[in-house]
Amino acid sequence: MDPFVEAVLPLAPALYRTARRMTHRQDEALVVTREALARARRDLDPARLAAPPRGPMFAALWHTLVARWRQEGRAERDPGPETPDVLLAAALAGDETELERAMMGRLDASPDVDIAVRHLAERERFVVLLVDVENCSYEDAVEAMTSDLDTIRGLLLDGRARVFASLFDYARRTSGVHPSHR
Amino acid sequence: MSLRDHDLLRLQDALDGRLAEFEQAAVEHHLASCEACRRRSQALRWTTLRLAGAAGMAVPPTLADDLAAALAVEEPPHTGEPSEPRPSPPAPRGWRAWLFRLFGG
Repeated sequence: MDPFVEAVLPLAPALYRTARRMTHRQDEALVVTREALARARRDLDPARLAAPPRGPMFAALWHTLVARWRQEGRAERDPGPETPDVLLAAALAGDETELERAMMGRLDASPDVDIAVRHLAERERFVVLLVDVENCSYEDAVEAMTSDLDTIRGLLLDGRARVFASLFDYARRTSGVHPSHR
Repeated sequence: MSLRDHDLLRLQDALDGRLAEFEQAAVEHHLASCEACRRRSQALRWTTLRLAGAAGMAVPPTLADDLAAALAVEEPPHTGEPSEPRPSPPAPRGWRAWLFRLFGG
């Protein structure tokens, strides 16, 4: 088999899932994944094929997504003004028992996770998807977004805090702990 | 430790195992006595657990075949190396060199 195909096909499900969560559409995710692979085939240094090329492949996916948004004249979503500490503090204002009850009630992979992720700005969403969903390293994310470590740490924290605020609110509502009890 | 953003980054680093052993121990020591930071740390940990559970999204069963077929018709892979320069013809010698100098190569 072609060494490129052999190296990148095991990463295809992760690339597709990420594309799906970035585009929200199955057909578009497939097209984006295909374009990303073609881009990587053109640009990837064959020396990187020795180890699974997660960083370069997600870089190809990110750049494909950005190119499509530019082509469509779409601006990236504004992440919102709240800092992670404000988000966490607001969600955690109740007592510890409430927190534990709400959290323990929801540990499954329910659709609310996807809904929470969907509302993130694109950059935060991409970093959260890479590191927390697809188990990439920070360094993979740095390479994927042509960024630096501090930016990735910040995007990840912001994204996690927003996901937490959204999930915790949902968990509290569905576990019977109502915000008015706080 | 106060609760400014940079400390949250530190909590996150500890959660993700990105600190040196002595730094990790310092964060854990702090968490033992600071409820606010402990709850934030729990919140971040819970979030990462929830997100990790989302990895199992189904992919189309024909995904690998579709992509392999698409790659098969793509252009051949870039080698990463600059293309080999064409070998230049051997330099003329003797009377040929004299002719080259006279009329140009």
